Amino acid sequence: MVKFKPVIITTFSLVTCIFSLAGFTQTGAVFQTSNGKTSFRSDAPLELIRASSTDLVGIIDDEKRTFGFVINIRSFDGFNTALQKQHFHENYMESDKYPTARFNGKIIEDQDLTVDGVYEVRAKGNFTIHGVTHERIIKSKLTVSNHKILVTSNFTLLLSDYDIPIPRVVYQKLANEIKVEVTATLLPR
Amino acid sequence: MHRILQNIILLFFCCIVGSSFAQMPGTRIYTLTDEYQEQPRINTLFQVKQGYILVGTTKGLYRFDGINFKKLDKEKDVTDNVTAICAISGNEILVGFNNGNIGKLQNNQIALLSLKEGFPKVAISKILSDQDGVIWIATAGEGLYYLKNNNLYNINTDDGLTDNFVYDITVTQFSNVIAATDHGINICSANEKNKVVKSFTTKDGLPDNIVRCLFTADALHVWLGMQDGGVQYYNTKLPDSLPSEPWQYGQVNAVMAISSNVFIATEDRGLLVFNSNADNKITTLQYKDERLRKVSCLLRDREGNVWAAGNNQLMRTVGSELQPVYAFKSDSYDDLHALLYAKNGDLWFNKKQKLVHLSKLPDGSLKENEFTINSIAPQSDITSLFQDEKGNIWIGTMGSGLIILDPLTGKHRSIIEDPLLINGSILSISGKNNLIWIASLEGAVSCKGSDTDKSINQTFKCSNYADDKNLGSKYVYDILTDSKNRTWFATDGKGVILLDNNTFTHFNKPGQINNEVVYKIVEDNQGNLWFSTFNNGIIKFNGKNFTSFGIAQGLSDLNITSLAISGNYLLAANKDGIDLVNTNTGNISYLNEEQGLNNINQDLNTFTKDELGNIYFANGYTIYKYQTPFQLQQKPSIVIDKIQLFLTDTTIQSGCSFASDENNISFFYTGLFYSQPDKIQYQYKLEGYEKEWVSTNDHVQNFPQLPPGVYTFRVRVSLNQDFSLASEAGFTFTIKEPFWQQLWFIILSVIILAAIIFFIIKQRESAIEKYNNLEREKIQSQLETLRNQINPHFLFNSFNTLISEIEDNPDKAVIYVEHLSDFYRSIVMHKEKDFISLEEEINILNDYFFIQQKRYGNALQIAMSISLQQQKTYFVVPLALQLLFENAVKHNVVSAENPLQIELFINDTEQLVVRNNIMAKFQPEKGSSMGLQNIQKRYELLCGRTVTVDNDNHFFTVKLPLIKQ
Repeated sequence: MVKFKPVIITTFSLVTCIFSLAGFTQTGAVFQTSNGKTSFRSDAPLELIRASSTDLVGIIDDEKRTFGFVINIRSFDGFNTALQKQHFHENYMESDKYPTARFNGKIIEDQDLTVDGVYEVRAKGNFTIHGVTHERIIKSKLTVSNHKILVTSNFTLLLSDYDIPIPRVVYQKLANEIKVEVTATLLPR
Repeated sequence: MHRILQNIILLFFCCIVGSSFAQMPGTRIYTLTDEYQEQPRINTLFQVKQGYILVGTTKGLYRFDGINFKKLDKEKDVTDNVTAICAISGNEILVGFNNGNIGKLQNNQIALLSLKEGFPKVAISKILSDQDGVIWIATAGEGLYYLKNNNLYNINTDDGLTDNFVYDITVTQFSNVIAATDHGINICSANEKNKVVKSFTTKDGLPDNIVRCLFTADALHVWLGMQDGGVQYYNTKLPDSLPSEPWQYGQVNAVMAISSNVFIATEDRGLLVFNSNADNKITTLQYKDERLRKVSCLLRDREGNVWAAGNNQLMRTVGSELQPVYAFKSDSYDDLHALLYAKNGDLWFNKKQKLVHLSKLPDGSLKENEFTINSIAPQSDITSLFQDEKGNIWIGTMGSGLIILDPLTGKHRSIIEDPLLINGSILSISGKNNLIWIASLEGAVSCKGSDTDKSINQTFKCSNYADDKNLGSKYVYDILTDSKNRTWFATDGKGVILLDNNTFTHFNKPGQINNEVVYKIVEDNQGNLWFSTFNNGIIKFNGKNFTSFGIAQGLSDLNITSLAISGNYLLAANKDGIDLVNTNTGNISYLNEEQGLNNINQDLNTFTKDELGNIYFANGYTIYKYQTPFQLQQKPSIVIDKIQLFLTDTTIQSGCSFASDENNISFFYTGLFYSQPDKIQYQYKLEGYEKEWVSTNDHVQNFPQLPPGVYTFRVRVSLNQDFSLASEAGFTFTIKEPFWQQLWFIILSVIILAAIIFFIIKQRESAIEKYNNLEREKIQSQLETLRNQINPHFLFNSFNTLISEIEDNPDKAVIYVEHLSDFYRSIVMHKEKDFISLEEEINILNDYFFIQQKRYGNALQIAMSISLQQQKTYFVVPLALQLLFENAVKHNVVSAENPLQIELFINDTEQLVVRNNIMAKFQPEKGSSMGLQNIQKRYELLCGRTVTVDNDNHFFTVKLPLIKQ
């Protein structure tokens, strides 16, 4: 049966994980969040699957133009049914084996994120889900105001890219294309 | 062995009425599935010099032959994820991997390269070799590397590179390398001393910093494909700010430009093909194919096909050779009889009796405009269209005569200057300069226009050839005025007729054009004339000789109506496709269902040519443009893949030698022609073994039990039965003679044989001599014995003994005489024999002894210890014992005081020993040794054994060999 770890502990470990991953230094140009909102939906012909999480941990280093985001897969909730949730974790995501999804890399555009404004930037990096890593370029909108960065991004993921199997029976229930929406407010450290 | 399951999905073009974007014509999709049913993703494509297409995938390197994928072997330490392939000097192929490793392909196997500096730690995105032989390596995270004089150098952000993530590189003039990165493009050059990097980013006017792909257009220009900014044409010498234009097709993964077509591979919008204008700006979207939504890479093969690959699918497109230009808006294409390319780029065609004008808009799209010409009766049809040098359009009809139209004003009138034209049935219109020829069902008409008046109202001077005396046939299909201003007529009934200097010449003699029906005449760039016939294929006339092209020469169909010349190619249309005849070589290649053509309109006047030599024609619902391929491969190439010895792979080179027992050899070969993979056929011949070429469709030939000799395996490939122009591959090898057929062995054998024969002869000679000797000795022995026995002394003694016996005891005398007669009978009986049994010999001895004992009494003693069994077993020469006894009696004093004791026994070494004590006479008997010598010789000759004689002054011992029968 599925064990539940306290989300807080996991989050903490994820933050340290990101810091070590990206090797961030303590400067004023670093923004971070630990409660970003992430939701996804799969518009399959027969059934809409959707869930969301508010445990997205993220960090942007304006000086180095790098970023890192991690989410605990177990933190997704709001499924239609408990069974759907169980299938999501056990059959598709194998959440015990691959507990997190992460995206870290660099910001392509050169805008100065300390100046207020709305910027459209592309984040390029390695996207890891289900233990499979692919290089992705994701377009995001950054709204900078009062030294806060609001990140909003919509993108799609192909299940087939990440070796997430779709059993024949639920082919009609699960689309290969998953639409993901991220909203997070990053505050300076 | 890897067995690749491959699915081939043949998808042919079918225009959907009303759709704005067409699928690409004549595409074929190949699906790659490996032996574990997994689907390798294709990262990169490359065509090697020998012809194979290499496919680099996440699960290894595959070799593709147009039908099958074959996974190539690799050494153990080589990873699977191939991200780059490149040919460097010679035939060497380098392979880059996702983990930064670089391998080399040798003998169809990948081995890691050894670099003293080590491999990059990040994925290799591209490998290139520049004009100077420097190998450039692009990496996804470590910038650029270049390998020069066996040293590996790095160019990264420290050297001024704007980003270390390099997607693509391309070489331009002067060995500059352009690198596409996440932060604009960098023009790099590196000499011995320093590295120079010039960057071009959004700050300099690049629409998008992420440049994912490059394509070198010419020495100065490069096409850029961007992540978000579409594609742009970029001048490397004079970089200028590029306009940022809206782009709706997402990330560009690869770009390629061929003539006026730009092929764009997108991340999730499939393959796009744009037209580009003279300024190399992309204009209209020509077609879009979304069957492969993600296209990662593009390749143009040597035949001109453009390949697009994404995920595990590989799609062949026809490239820019065939382009769909226009899709008919209704099913009226069935009634299409005439298609005309007009000088300004417009197209004209008929829709039954109506005329349609397709005018080109500035954006490249075509606008349709329909004309109704009142003078054409509703039940009539337009059969032919022609534009004269003044720009006027001539319209030929079936039953409604000839009409001339001013395309600018739309005004038109019927030409009635010749009676044949009034309500005539026109089959074709042609012309040169001011003279227009009209072929009709009633005969041929020529119309000469005014030199000054360009309007349609000018008066034409017409004359006609309807009379039988001239052409001999009223049905004229086509008229051509050639480059020498001679006029050729294609007729139904009289074949080809030439009008030169007012003289008509017919060409219906044997060896000319043996056909009454000729449809079309064209002239190629060398001045050769080509005729299409009814059921007799094509005939070429070079001014002297006529050459026929039929099925044996590779033509698909013998009934050809439409002909057209484009560059060095003659297009001959049949219903299912177009045969392309190279007018220089005669080689025939094909455009058919593989290229999406399966319903060609073969009407007499539906092939039209533009000023560049491109041909427009109709297939089904679509008007196509055929662009003459320039320096492209038009015939298949052939590769010998591997050679097996006793069904085991070997790596040997042509010219090698095999031992006499290495005589089971298999050749694997592949013919490569990606445009028509199903038409590949082979002929092979093992020179030195077979004289004739053997046709086959097999990819392997096995030759078991080849006798010694020098062989050349030759294999050639063609798309049709004509192999005279076929590509050929060969492999020469020698099977050595076995040692028993080599000269030294034969000489040695002869010597040995001679020696053996010599020896046998010698042997026989000596045997004969021995036999002769034996005979002589035998006679000698008999003589001796007889001489002894009829020796008067012996007889005298015997008779004395006999007399005394008769007196004393007549009974015993009888016995004595019996023994005496037995003795003589034995001598006579056995004298001819070589051997007699010991028993018989002893019987003779006994007789003799009996006779002698009567004389000597107890003074003569014999001690014999030989069993009857031994007597029967052994054999001796006849009368030997008797002779020895006789000798003993003869040479010794026999007296009562000193009796002569003769012992007779068989010793351990199977010799018969005859021993007597010596009491030598004072006066030895003469001629005594003859008998002993005779015995010795007889043994020598008969069995090669010696008789030993021993005299120790006490005993005289003779040892006779015993023979076992």
